[in-house]
Amino acid sequence: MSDVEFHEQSDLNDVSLEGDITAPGFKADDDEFSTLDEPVKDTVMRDVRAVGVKFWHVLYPKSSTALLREWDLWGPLILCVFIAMLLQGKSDDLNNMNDGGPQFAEVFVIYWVGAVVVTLNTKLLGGNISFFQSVCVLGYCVCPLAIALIICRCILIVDEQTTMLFIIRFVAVVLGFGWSTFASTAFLADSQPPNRKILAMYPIFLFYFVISWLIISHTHS
Amino acid sequence: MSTTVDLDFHDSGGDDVLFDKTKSQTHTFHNFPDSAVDDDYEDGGDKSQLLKEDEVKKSPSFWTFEYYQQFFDVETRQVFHRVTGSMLPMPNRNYLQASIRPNPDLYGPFWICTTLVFTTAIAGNLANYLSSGGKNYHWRYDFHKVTFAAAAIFSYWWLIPGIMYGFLWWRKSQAGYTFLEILCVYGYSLAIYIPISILWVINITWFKWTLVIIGAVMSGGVLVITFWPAVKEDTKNIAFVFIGLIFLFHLSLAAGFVLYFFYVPTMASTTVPTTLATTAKPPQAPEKVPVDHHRLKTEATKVDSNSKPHKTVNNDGNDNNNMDDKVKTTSDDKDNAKVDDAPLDDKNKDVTKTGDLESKKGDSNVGKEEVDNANDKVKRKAVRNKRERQKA
Repeated sequence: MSDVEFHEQSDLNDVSLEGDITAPGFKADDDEFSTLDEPVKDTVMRDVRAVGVKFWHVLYPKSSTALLREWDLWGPLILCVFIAMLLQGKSDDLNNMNDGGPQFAEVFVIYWVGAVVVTLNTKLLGGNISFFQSVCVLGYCVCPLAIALIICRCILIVDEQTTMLFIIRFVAVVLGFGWSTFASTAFLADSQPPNRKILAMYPIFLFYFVISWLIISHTHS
Repeated sequence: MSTTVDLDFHDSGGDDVLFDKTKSQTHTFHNFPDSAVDDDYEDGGDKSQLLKEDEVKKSPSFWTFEYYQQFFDVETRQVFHRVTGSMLPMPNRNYLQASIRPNPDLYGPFWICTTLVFTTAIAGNLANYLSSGGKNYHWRYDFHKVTFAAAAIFSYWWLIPGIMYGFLWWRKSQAGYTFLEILCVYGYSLAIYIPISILWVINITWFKWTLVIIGAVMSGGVLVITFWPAVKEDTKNIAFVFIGLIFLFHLSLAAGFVLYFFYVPTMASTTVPTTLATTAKPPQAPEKVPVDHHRLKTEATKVDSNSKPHKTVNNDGNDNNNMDDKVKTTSDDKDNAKVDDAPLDDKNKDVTKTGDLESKKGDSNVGKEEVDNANDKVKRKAVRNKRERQKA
């Protein structure tokens, strides 16, 4: 009988039975990260900074994964509300006139339902991207078109609308459209197998095309 | 010496190990309980069924995502191949068998329909805008063409195949076309209208109608060739009526597009904007183009069916599906298409909801008279009507 060792009874009392569950080598954080303890300004600024970083990535698209890793829907919501407010048609019930433009709700629906449908299409084709990541990217990439809308709106302040001004507006919207499509392909193209890339990209192209059409057709009175 | 029992302790192994067989008992088991270990041998080692099960995947349930993924199992070049095949009728090649089977898809049809909705609406607005160039009022685009186009196209894409599937099932057709395949063929058959709708912007009447004929003949031809095998065993009458109706619906869809989205009146000043009357009311001459809707909008007060007050200008009141009347309206369309000098006659096709050709012909005359009257009194009535409207 060889390998059984017997300790003296007193040895057992000296072994400490306390300790941390955390593995050795990691710093033990005493306080858990809790947003209740920090000033509201910090909480808000953290999210604002996250949104801002994503806008920056859209405006200067390099194939990074920042948009995909931590998606959020704040940016798309801000853009959607902004665009819908600017694009909504005036409806003057007294004279039963309207300027033919979409209502706020219609723009809202086109934006979100469009993003959802395009995302569903990507997933049905077998893309390996999660639902909200795709909606997030599609929403953020509307930012260049929003900038084009602002430019158009500024141009429309001028009373006398000439053909030259229309051409400037048209060029601005086309540039915005190209930029948006390019930015979204930079983020989304890798999620599809190569024999279906065009099938997945075409709905994105159509989505931005429709939004561009809404912007260029908007001629407020 | 004491008599001690020789206990005979031995280490294991070695030559001196003795096993006394006589004293041991061996118990053999015959009754094996069910256990996973023995499964391989229970059916005698028949493994052929295993392979078969792997190949035939169980079709996923309707409520899972994978069920719908099977409809999107296409590649880019397959979709292109199907789109081009739907536009070129070849008598010796059945489009369905050549291109669609064995995996019909819904990607192509869905995105073709969506694209067609937007190109029709956008091109319609563009045609509208170009026709009003030079006038000194604000042209406004009509976003609601999109909603109408979407309703019309998607219902065509789903209703006609539904009716057709029901009909084939009723006649016990032997061709074995599934509903999905019919949907797929119909969706792809709309693809030719996408470039045509862009070309419709060019405002030359004979050119537009030529495009209608070309589009209807080409994709209608593919449809006819595809569905002929389904009814050829049936009685001659039924078969010809069936094929004729397919072609007719297709033609009516194209004609409806031209007349609704792309109609430009030759005389802008004679157009009278009215909202569409419902069936009970006598038809007015609807205006297709919101050209002068500022000045002439007041005429809308003559027709009091303002069920949709924010759509005074176009036939957007005509939210009912035009499809039901497409068959009956085509003959009227063709008649009116030859009459170039009375642009308003054509518009009356949208007006009636009753499927009654005679009443429609009678109504069209009435409509024309009313339009003439209205034209004469436009400017005089404008102010008066505006006052009335504000009172109402």
